[in-house]
Amino acid sequence: MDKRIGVIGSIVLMIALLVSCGPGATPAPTPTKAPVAAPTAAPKAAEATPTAAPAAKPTTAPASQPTPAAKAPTTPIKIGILTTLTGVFAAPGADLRDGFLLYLAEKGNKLAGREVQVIVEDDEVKPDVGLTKAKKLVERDGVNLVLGVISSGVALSAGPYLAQNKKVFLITNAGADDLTQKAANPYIFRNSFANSTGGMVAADWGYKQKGWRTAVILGSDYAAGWEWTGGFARVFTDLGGKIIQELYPPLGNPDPAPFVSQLQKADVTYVFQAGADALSFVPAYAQYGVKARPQPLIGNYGITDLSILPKQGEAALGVLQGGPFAEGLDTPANKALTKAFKDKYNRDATIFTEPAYTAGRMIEKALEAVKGNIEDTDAFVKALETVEIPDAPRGAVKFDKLHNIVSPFYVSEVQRVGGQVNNMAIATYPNTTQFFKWTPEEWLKMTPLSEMKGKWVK
Amino acid sequence: MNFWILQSLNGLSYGMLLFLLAAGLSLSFGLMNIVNLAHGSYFLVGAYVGLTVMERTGNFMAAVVVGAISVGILGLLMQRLLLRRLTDHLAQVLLTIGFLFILGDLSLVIWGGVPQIIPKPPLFEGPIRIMESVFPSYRLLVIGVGIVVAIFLWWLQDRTAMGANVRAAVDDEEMAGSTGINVALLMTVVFGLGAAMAALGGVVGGAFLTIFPGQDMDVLLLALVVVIIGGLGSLKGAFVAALLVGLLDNFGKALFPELALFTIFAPMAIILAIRPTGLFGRA
Repeated sequence: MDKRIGVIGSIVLMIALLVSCGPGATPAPTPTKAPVAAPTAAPKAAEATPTAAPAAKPTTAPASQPTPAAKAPTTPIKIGILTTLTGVFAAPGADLRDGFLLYLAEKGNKLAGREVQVIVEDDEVKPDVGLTKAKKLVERDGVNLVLGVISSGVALSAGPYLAQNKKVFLITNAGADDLTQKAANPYIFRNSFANSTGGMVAADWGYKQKGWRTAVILGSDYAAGWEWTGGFARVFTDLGGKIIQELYPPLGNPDPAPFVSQLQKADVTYVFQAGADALSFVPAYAQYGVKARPQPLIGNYGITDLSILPKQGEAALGVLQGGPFAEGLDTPANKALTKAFKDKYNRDATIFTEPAYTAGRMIEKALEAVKGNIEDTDAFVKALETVEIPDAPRGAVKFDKLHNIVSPFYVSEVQRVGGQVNNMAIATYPNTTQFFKWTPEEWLKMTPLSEMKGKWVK
Repeated sequence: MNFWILQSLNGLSYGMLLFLLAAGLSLSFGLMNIVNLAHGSYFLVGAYVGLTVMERTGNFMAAVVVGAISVGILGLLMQRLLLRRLTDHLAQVLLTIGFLFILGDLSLVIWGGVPQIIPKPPLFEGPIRIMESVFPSYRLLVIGVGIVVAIFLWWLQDRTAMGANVRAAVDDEEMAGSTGINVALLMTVVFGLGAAMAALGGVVGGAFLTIFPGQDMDVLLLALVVVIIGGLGSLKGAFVAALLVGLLDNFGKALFPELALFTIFAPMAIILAIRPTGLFGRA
């Protein structure tokens, strides 16, 4: 018997290690110590080649087309998509990838007259794997630009490497505030959001429009959770509101019971939950009677994102979010994107789709400005800095000085529209920056929100 | 006061789920000497099958029955065709961990990576008032299911001929065989039953814990902890340990959320140090 205990003991240890190395705990490794060799088996690294590459390239450009600038090479532009295709974030990762591929397909795989070749790599939500894959994209595939990245841990480890090698890195999801604040870099752009902004918008709207004065905050216990709830708490307390309770469940905590059952009575509950955690949290919020107190629930725009919303049932109706996008947004571009995505992939576009899709437009516009010559990186960066899209699916977007997106932010509510539940915008904050109502200097002087955990309840 | 009642109920319902999950693993470990790491997959696959049945029929009972039976058959086949041939622990570990990965990836291909949740039976959708606190009625149902299954298993083991045969085969396989008991068949049936119970746990748990890729690994870890604390091959041990782990996990998270894993593993380490065979294991 003792021997067997030993066997299972060591197995438990092994699995505990496996589990703790998963996305639940992904500390950013020091970027300097990346493995030199590519991993022996790169699982599922899908190589997406253009869907309809012409069989033979015409030797001369057709007369009707203006010849591209003399310097721009005629070889394809290589774009690497670094995303997550295995594990917990496999679904968001695929939505991100397909958002960009959809834009390319609509353009016949050509941007600014040059053919585009896409190489997709799976980062497995692991910072070290992400860095290895970024190196592979740069050194083996020779990509001109890398975009994507679901996880901030991966973005923080791959970013410095890409910047050192003067490759433009366009982040289309990862929200860690640092990426465009303390770790800002000339070669790093982000067209999704900084984590804290959604929370700040929610607090401002609730305090002013709903008269909320007391709040409970609950966020997954990692950087994104601290920053989303921290953004809410900073604006809410700044306006004069009071945070009466802070709870931080571990990330990847599918049973919210220990936390939901101790939520104190307040005017509102602000939460950051994502994926499976969010899927079980929203029904539990109703089943533990908190929703019926009544105590409204407002959170990040992932708590009811469209991939999980239909499964959350009645409990989700009336749940509020603050974020840079809402799937039910009534703009022509969003309606077109929603339909095109559904037609092509037979599933709903999600919050991870829009930034990747819009990235296609932003890259194209910058490429047009440099006449397709992406090889002149500094000129391309300058062009990208000035790109403005007035009619992206989420509205007018451009970059701020630190290369983070300036876009409308929305407060949205889960409503039943024509028999279907969706996130419908009920308030708009146009031209919102990552500094919200502060100047960049004021903001950067304040304590980073990731260090404010546990300090909001006075 | 309110806090302690609510959190105890939370812990009990979670513990009952762990019992459904771990009972089969404990049996196969203790009785058959099989190290089955694919046990977490039974939970996951059972949950997914239950989800599909629920979506097609809208009947929760059907989801539970089909999920448990289909995975039970999967377990039977695995034991009959493969595991039975292996007596070496290392070979068993390698084979079953292979199944863990294969079944996990197959589930990802078939059911996708988006987290899922099984709709609850309408009767148990809402909350229930207990004194001045509010508690989900579904979690009370889970506690009830756990108790019923525990009684059924105890009856099966202690009061039926099959249970007697199993206990005989465990004590001395050769001797039991020589008295005419078909030991090989018995083991296969018990193994299949264990797989079916894990799947039952998957369907029941899938309605409040959600189902997602990678869950197989998470629940396997919990099941192993339960088996180690309770003692190999002891149903009583699995029951007590499951409730203990459920309560520890819940109170740990509620009181010290940052030590979430510690509150489970520290007691395991302590129990191993004091009683290496677990609470109810035989040396």
